[in-house]
Amino acid sequence: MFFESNWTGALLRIAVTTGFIFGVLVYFLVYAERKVSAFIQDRVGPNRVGPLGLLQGLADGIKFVFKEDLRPSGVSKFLYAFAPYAAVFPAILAFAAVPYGVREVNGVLVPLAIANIDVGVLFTISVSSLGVFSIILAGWASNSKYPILGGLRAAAQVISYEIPLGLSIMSVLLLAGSTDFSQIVATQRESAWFILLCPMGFLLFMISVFAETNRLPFDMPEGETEIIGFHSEYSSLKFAMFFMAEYANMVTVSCVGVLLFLGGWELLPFVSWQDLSGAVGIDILGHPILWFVTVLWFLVKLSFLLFLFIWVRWTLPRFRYDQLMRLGWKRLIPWSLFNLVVTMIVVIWMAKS
Amino acid sequence: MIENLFYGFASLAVIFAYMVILIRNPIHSGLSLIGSFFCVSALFVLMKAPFLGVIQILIYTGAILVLFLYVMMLLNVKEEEETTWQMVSKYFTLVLVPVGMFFSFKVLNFKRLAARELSEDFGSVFSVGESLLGSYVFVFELASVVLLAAMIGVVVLTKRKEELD
Repeated sequence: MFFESNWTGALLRIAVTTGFIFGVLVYFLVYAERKVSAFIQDRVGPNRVGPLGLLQGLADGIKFVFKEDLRPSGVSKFLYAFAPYAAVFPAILAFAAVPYGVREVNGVLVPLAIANIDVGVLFTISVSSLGVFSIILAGWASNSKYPILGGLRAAAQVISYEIPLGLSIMSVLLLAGSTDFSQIVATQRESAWFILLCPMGFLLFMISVFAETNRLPFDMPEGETEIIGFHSEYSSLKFAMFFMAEYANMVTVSCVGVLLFLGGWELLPFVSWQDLSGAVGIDILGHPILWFVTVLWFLVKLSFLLFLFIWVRWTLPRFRYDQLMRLGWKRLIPWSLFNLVVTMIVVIWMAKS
Repeated sequence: MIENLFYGFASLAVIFAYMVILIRNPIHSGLSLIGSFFCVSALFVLMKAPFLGVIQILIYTGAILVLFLYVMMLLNVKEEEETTWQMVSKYFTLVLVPVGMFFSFKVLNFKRLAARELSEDFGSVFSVGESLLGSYVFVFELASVVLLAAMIGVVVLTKRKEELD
């Protein structure tokens, strides 16, 4: 029922995937962020609510719900209320085309996703880029000079870093010759993981993604330490929605990173699940339960990238705004163009020989 | 089902497009335009052209309208007083569009167009790429030269005088 391509199946998949992302991944990501930051700064971190502080996120959620929902005077009423939804909606929708595992049905590999579409990469990237509207609208609708400055700055940052992001993804699309996530993973199984074939693309992708998701060292949009961000005027649940959307975006782009560069659900570079099945003598992908190990393995890789996000945040200081722009336009874009041209030459040369 | 969805999105697209011209507040107009583009991209998907649908979101909604809203926010555009001429043209459009739609329904036989057989890979990335770099390669290259010229023009215009000398 879960895998069928009818309305019930689709609704079930949407419910389970969205519930898992917001209920489990985002929850534990926030917890991990606090625990890892505590470890890096030699603190204890949350340890009061529940065992090991595991219920801290729940307590914070309750706090957000019961806080007073202030609305500053003179705001644009509709847009002020709409902006948090404009942040959450693309964050959820972007996940619709992301596959997270594979199983074999009657000898055919079927990727697990809400929807398998052949323009999956483009869909995910274009939908997740719509999150910038929430920044613009929140900044403008707040009717206050600090949020509007923060909004302008954040929007400029997100637009600028979308270019190297797109260019680094294009190099992967060229190598795989497809815009379908499962096809890209299959190509990586047959050749090599793209992090090995195209390490520069991975580096450029990660840097741009840090800027896109407003994480340190590029957390100009939030800027909690000294400058004021686009959501300064938001409180209570509306603020929580921006917060959740940021973490959901981190999950989505990490999924894209795993699928494009780290071989998706494949076992190891040059060792596929099929090889393991042959060695062990059990058909893992065709097995009624064992195929789930591909989903777990995908989650392991995902956690690694998410850990990288947290690690970098608590290690590096922030860029100044002009340094950020200079890095984006004068370093990353030329380098990603260079990377793209080199990839093109390699792809053509491979096709010729 | 698909036909009903199509008519739903098509009417929504027209309604949003109406709102773009009827709403006074420029930011609200811009948002309606986003809604309209979304519906158009849904129409592309329903017409078996998912690539165009995604590109519609990527280019129009994700890039062009972000810049529109950005500029409107930067200049802090206010609601404008309407001149009589603007009022007249607004309501003229309001009447003209349904009349035009009625005649296009009467003259063009949509049912016949819809019944046309489509090839297997219609609307896929591969077939779009093939037609862009195959049968329409000259137009494609011409457009890229024009865009390149525009890009260089922008770079030159934004440079300050002293830096040019």
